[in-house]
Amino acid sequence: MNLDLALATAVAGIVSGSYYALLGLAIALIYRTTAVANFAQGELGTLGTFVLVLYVSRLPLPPGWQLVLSVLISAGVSAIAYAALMRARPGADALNLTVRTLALYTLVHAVTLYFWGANEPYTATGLFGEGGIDVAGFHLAYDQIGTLLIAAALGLALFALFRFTPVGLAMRSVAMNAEVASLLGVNVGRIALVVWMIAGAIGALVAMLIAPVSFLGTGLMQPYILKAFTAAVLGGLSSFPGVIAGGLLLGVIESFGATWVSIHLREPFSFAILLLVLLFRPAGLFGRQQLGRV
Amino acid sequence: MTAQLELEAPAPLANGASAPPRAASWTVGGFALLCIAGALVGDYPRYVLTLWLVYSVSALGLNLVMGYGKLYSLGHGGFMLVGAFGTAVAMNHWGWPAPAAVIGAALFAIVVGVVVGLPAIRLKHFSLAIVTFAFGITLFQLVKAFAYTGGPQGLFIDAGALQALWGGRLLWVVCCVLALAGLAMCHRVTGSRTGRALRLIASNETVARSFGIGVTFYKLAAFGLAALLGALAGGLLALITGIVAPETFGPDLSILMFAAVMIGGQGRLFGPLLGAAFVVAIPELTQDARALAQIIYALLFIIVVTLFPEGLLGMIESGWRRLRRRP
Repeated sequence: MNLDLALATAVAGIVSGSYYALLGLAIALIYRTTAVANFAQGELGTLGTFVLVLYVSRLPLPPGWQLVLSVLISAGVSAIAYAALMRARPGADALNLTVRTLALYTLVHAVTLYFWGANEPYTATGLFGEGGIDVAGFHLAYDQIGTLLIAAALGLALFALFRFTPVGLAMRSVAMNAEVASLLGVNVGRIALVVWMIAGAIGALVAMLIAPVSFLGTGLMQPYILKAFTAAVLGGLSSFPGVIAGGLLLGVIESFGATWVSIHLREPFSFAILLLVLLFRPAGLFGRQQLGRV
Repeated sequence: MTAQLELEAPAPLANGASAPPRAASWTVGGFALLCIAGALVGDYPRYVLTLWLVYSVSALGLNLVMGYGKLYSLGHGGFMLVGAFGTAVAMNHWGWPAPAAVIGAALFAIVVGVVVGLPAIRLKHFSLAIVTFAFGITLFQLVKAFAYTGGPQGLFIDAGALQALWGGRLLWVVCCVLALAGLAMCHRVTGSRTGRALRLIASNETVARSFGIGVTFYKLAAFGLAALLGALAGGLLALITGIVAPETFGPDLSILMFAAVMIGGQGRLFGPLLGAAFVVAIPELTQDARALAQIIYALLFIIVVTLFPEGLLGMIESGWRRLRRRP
């Protein structure tokens, strides 16, 4: 393998790794605050992308505002989903709450299929235009640069939110221990709502980044959602930077695996990585082992 | 998180051992009637009933792991895949007769189940859900990648002779017998030492360990039994349809089985039968609505799991209790 190919593989891996990382972050956020593996995360993003491409893009607004508007719509949908599904019958166990997100996944998928399934795949125009730049003989597409910039900006924004704002502090406290946080006066329900909104926004943004580089169809996010889960578990759900590292790592390793070994073994390869990591570190690469108490 | 010790006796229906013997004869009688009724109706209704029983058998297995053991298993479709593709490979490539192929595939699936259960020794909740989910998808990708298993189209089984026996009724009777046997097995297992151990592990693993319960053994046993029932269902499905396509046994099937157990009522003996009836019947009943059918199904799915966390059977039980309390 020559250097150019290795570099191209690495960049492709980092780009897809940043999708996994951001989605994984959304999943970890929801898991830490509401103890639910949100299987509908990807489909909600697909829904948001369809809304952007087919409806919002026809509004007389500059493209940037169209994007912001669709992301806000997605956040709203996610909040409604939380309020309607997770708040009802709060006594249910985590297994039941998880199956509710699966039901939501089924519904969102059925809805996208009903309205837009017949004419797929659609083409989504890239957010950053065609072409690219050459750096020292190495080609970087605008899409790749833009994706990396947006992912980095989003990651920094989330970090700032957690670190420097009262809401972020409340979120971290709920993630650490919801019961204690509620005793200390944090409105856990409201924090969970905010978390679902943020996760919805992240999911939609990732889907809108993916749509131009792949076909926009009803199955847009399906290949990514498992990777996002894997990234979240790899990094250790208790550490948000860990999830980002897990996503990038998964993307790069998988990209090299696909280039070196075989494209068909991409999924089995990432599964093998997941198993290997969990074999030696059951709490993930950066997670802390939770001690059980009787 | 402080866990509560559930030392009081579980509800009669949840605990197989305390169910009166009359319940057993009712069940056998009910199945005999169902079997006769199924043999008398036309081909299409019988196909739907067969599908229901096949899914029931598979869901019974998943219920052992998820309902009683509270171990997240989102790759149950993978066990059905092992059963179906094992049957197809044994029949097509090795020339085994159909019954031997199904049983061989099911025995092999036990090994697979125990191996898949290994992560459950150390992992919990989210991580376990993702590992099992990824297992199902990996198997799906693997059979699609290799020509030996038919690649993306899958394999065709020459089971025409078997399907035609008794005017297509033999496989229906086999399904009835298997479903009854599966119920009996789950009843025995959950009412025995294994069932009690699994329930205690579900409620608090540390306590179970301190009581000297071999946690590892029971977790693996639960996965092995689940794989056995799942693979038997998968093998039967292969014989019934004659086609073993990867898409049939993809991640959607795992989700469907998970849904069936949760909709029917997790940790209840008859829950899987009710849940399987839901996931089979609703799409069939709403066929006339065409494109809307999936949305109707999804809405019903959401309503049931959100409003009745204990599933349909839990809803019926609590409704029954409320009726009896009011004279």
